[in-house]
Amino acid sequence: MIEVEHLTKRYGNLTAVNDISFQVERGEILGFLGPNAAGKTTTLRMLTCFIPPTSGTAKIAGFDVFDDSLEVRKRLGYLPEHAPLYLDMRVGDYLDFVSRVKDIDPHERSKEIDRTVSQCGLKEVRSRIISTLSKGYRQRVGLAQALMGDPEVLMLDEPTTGLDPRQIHEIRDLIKELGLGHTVILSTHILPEVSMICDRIVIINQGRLVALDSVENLTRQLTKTQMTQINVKGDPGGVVNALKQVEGVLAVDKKQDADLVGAGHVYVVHSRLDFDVREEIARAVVKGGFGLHEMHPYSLSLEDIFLMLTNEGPAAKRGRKN
Amino acid sequence: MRNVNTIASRELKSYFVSPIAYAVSFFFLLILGGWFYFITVVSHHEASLRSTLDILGYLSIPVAAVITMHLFSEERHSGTIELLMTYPLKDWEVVIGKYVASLLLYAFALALTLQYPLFLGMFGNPDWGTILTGYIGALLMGASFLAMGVLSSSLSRSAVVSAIICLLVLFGLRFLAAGVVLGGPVGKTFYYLSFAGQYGDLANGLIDTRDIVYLVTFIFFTLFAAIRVIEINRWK
Repeated sequence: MIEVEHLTKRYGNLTAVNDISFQVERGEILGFLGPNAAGKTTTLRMLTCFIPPTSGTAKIAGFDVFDDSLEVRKRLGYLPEHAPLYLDMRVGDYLDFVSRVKDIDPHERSKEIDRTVSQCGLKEVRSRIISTLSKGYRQRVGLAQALMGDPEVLMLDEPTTGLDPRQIHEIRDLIKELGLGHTVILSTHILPEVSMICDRIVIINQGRLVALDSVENLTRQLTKTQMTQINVKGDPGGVVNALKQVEGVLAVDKKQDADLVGAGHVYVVHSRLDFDVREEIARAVVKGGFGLHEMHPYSLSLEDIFLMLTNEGPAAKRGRKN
Repeated sequence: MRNVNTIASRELKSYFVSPIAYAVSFFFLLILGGWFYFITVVSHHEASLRSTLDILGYLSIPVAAVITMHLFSEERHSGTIELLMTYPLKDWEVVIGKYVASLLLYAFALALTLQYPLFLGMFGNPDWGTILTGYIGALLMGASFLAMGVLSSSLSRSAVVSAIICLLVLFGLRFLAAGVVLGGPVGKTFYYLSFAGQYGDLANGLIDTRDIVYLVTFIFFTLFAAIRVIEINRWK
């Protein structure tokens, strides 16, 4: 449904997006992750025909974003970052305007407006002027205009910013539901959102694509060691020394200091993948005279993956592997 | 064409919910009404709109700048341009739609001044033909000022800067006529290039094909340039 090949955008000497390629299948929800200024919004702007790429191509439903821009835009629902809306208009009038520019059949128009209004929970603010609405409602009006005309492809740039937890929940459910019949690209930096909604994720850093896979696959790829998280009371130096003596243990990281007086520190023990070291760890702790409060297997969270792929230079990454 | 209509009616509604439409109409009526009463009626005892329409030639410049300054600047400033340009609309439809809205507002303000010829008709015997050509000229000249305003608005993110560009260019073109003092063909060229040269005759009730061609060409080229600027803005 969406094919992106070697997409690049340069502003003078600055390369905002550097040679990005990926594909999105029909009905898929793709999470678009990256730190601020990584090139997420620039990529979405190219895919929505707002700015042309410097080089490379992008096709949506088989139409090129540059050569067949109008055909692409007919199939697109876009919610830009911060939901820019005409603040002097009433919600109903605004959605009517959108239904007209999106060329919706005049007979279908009012039905379509009603549908988006109820889908985005805008019934009670329909006759309000947009400038008087809260951030959450404005975001929903932005979503409503994107859904107008039931487009095949939806591009949502941080759709849940400024919403309260209940609204975030509703919008997530809505996006999940939309994913059944639509192709969705969801840009966000709220990570739990991605693990909950998205089929696959793309991680962009400094304009480059650094990962493209499902969360499970990325976790598997990036897990180089078996990890066990333990909470042990006692002198940290002694604990680390004792644990390092255990056969199969590669490294011990102190993850977190004790949060209460008398509580234990939290460590992550990296060990060889082919070795179950849990019993030996327990024995070593007890033998050293420390108090074992807690132990459980530890797997990489999306946050860990994200930090590993975006925050660290190549040297730090190599360090993590050893 | 339907898209032009949609854009134009949205802009027009926006004029009337903001103070712009009322401020422009008030300004028009205040200055033209004052001029009409004190100069034409009290001082000259003339049953003609000539001097009133002459003043309109100057007054329309700031009015055009005010009407058009926000058209594109505001969309770029607030970011709404991003949605507008990703809807299935052609660039020219957006430009013409906004232009038509500004033209309708100008025509509305101009229509309010039709009361002056009505008064002339009640108390005197004006030359209706001259008045009609005067109004056609005023409308055509306003249309070219507004086209320049649309172009200026596409050039800057700031409405104030857009208005300043528009004022500079239009007053510049207006006072180009001063070049006539140079005499000879150079002076004539200056005079013909200026708005004063074109509009003067129309205000006096003379329809000269050259004037019409000048103004229509001016409108055509400035709007064409505005469409290109909108295209170029995408590349930046």
